[in-house]
Amino acid sequence: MKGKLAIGAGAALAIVALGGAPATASTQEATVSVLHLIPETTVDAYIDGTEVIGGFEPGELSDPMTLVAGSYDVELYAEGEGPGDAEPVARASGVEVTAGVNLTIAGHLSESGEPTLTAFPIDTDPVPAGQGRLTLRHLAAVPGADIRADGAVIVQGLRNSQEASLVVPAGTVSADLVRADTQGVGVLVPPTDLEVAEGVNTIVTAWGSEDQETLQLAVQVVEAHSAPRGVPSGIGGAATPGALGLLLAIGGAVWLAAIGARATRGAEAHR
Amino acid sequence: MAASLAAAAVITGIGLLAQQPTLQAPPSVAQPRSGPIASQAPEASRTSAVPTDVGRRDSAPSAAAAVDPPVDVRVPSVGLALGVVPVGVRADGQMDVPDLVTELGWYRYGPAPGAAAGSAVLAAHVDSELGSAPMAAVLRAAVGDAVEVTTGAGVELRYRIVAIEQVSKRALPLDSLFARDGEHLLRLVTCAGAWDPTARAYEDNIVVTAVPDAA
Repeated sequence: MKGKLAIGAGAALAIVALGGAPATASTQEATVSVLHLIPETTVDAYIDGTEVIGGFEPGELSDPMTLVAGSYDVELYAEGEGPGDAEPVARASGVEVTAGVNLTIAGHLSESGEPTLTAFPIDTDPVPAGQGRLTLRHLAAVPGADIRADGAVIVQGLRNSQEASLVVPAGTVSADLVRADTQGVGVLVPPTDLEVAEGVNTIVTAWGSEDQETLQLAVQVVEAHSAPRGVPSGIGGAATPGALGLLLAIGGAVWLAAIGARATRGAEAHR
Repeated sequence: MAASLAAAAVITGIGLLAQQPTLQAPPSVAQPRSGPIASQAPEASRTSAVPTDVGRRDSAPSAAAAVDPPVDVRVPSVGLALGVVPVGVRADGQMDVPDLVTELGWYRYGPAPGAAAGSAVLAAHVDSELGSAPMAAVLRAAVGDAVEVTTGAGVELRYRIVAIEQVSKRALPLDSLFARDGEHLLRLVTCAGAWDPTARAYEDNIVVTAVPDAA
């Protein structure tokens, strides 16, 4: 018989503490955020004729909204204007919002500098523990660009309204945006430290206009975490009932912790 | 950071567990893809409400929020007192429990003790090839016992044990154990149960769950 290790006297077993999965959201709903990346224009954002965000400044990201799945008209008007008395700065009619999707609707400049709206579904598939997803988007009024991380090209020839993503170990990366095919000479956005946090999709968007000298980065973070696959916390087999019982009898004070001198550790970087 | 962990592992003579906490050169160049352009279909008739006055925030890149890590954990009722080091995950996807049995590993990707929500997970080996380890003392703890945590900033946190569970590793509810939302809990994890000499592992985990104790 392989005995079970006894839990100390007085310990109670309570399964509830570890049980239970949280209820999931309605399957008919979707999550929608609006990202305003049209430089130098404060807008009011409308969905189906209703103002959802007023005085929306360039570079701002809305809180996630819950919308019933369906087709929506999204319009950005200059601040103070609205449907019926003006033409929108940008309009997207019939944006399909599918149940369960997490969508970002971004107002931005086209490659030629025209205000436009583009919808991007966000990849929320869990990444392995210890890693993060880095999504790179090009919504700036510049031609094709390469994105470099710590000097190495990680995305090549990204064009306006395109995105690319990769899963990488969590950490900090210095990213810059350079004009495609210039071997890094035509720097559009200078190196910027970005945190690729563990268990999230870090969405980095290059936006603005080269002509207006408003090129910059926007960051949006969406959960995509998963738990480690286990907790391996025994090494030797010494904690079998006989051996452990004896050791416990001796008393917890006599620890065989002396294996190996305690190593000197450098300060751990933490987040 | 990796270097210091590696050094610690070498000194113990136990298997070196590679750790890659920093962003390495990515495996390959990602391929661009287009975002879906909004279709020009006419508006469908639909009457559901859209929210108003939605909040917003600046999306400019910002520095990561500082976390106050745990440095010391004590269960006075059973004489357990261990230093804490931040750990991540091993190459096989499991939590990287410190090789030194005198240390507790805090899962640094999850919440820290004192967080507003979610579970702070700390794990240590119950034994080594040389015998029982300090963490084995937690097996004698009881519901109601206090757990004390000191953070790097010197904050003293106090928890009270509400559950001690022995769970088969195959049935360990990892998503719940490592929850990042919901009630803030402290989880002390070690191994127990039958030793499987082939797998060189115990069949069960012991999970001690504690809640913040105002007293």
